[in-house]
Amino acid sequence: MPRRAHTLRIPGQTSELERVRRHVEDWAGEAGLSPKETRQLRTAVDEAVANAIEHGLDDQRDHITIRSASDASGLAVTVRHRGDRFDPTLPPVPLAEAREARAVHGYGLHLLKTLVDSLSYRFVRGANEVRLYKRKR
Amino acid sequence: MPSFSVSFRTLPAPASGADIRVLDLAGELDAHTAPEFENALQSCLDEGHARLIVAGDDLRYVSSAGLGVFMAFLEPVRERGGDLKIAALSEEVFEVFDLLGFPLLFDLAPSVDEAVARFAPEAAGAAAGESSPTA
Repeated sequence: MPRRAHTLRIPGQTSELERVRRHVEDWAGEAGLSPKETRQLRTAVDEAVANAIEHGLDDQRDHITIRSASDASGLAVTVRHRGDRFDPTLPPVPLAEAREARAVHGYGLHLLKTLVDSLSYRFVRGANEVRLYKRKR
Repeated sequence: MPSFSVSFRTLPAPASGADIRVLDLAGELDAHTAPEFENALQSCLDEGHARLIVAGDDLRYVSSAGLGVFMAFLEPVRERGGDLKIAALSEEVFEVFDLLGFPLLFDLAPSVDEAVARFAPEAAGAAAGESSPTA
């Protein structure tokens, strides 16, 4: 399969999330992920971008860049944005504890970690970069 | 076409007690549309409704922001003597609820009719956790 790469640049607004999901679905389909793998990656990317909008941006005029690259084994999606450090790979509050406390926030990080095969984070030249990888089964 | 909508209907209680308010969700519930869902649930409480069913027949997507709204209203509704039951989720949406263990806290019913029946006095002791996503 030829490698395919795509780039999507969006303003840091939640109204863009639906468009992000549609693009990820298209990229995943093109890369040959199954419907379930596609759904899982779509949800994980949605959570990563929502986190960037909520926590990481300096202001709403900032943009978020989402890149995808497929290889023979699966699809990588990278979410990059300037702003404060926000590392989604750090351990979140344990699920049982969050449920017990009736927490309203914190579930997105669990989804992010659970739904992809690898998740990595780095802070480079003032920008947060979260990389998600979903393997084809 | 809007990507998310909430519509309301009222059903009579299965036996005695207050009527049941059903919120039919359609579309995609994410960080952008979650405030609309939050306002809808708040309006139910403001109008004195505490027996609520959220129906997901036409809900295609839920993110953690949407799940947080469910969580925010669970105790306020139960403190008023009611419940926030969830009905008729698609397999895809149920997957997300299940992944986070929400069926341990919420009463998930396969259909709105089943959720209504669980508001009957004899069903009041039924525990959440006996959940299934679809009819």
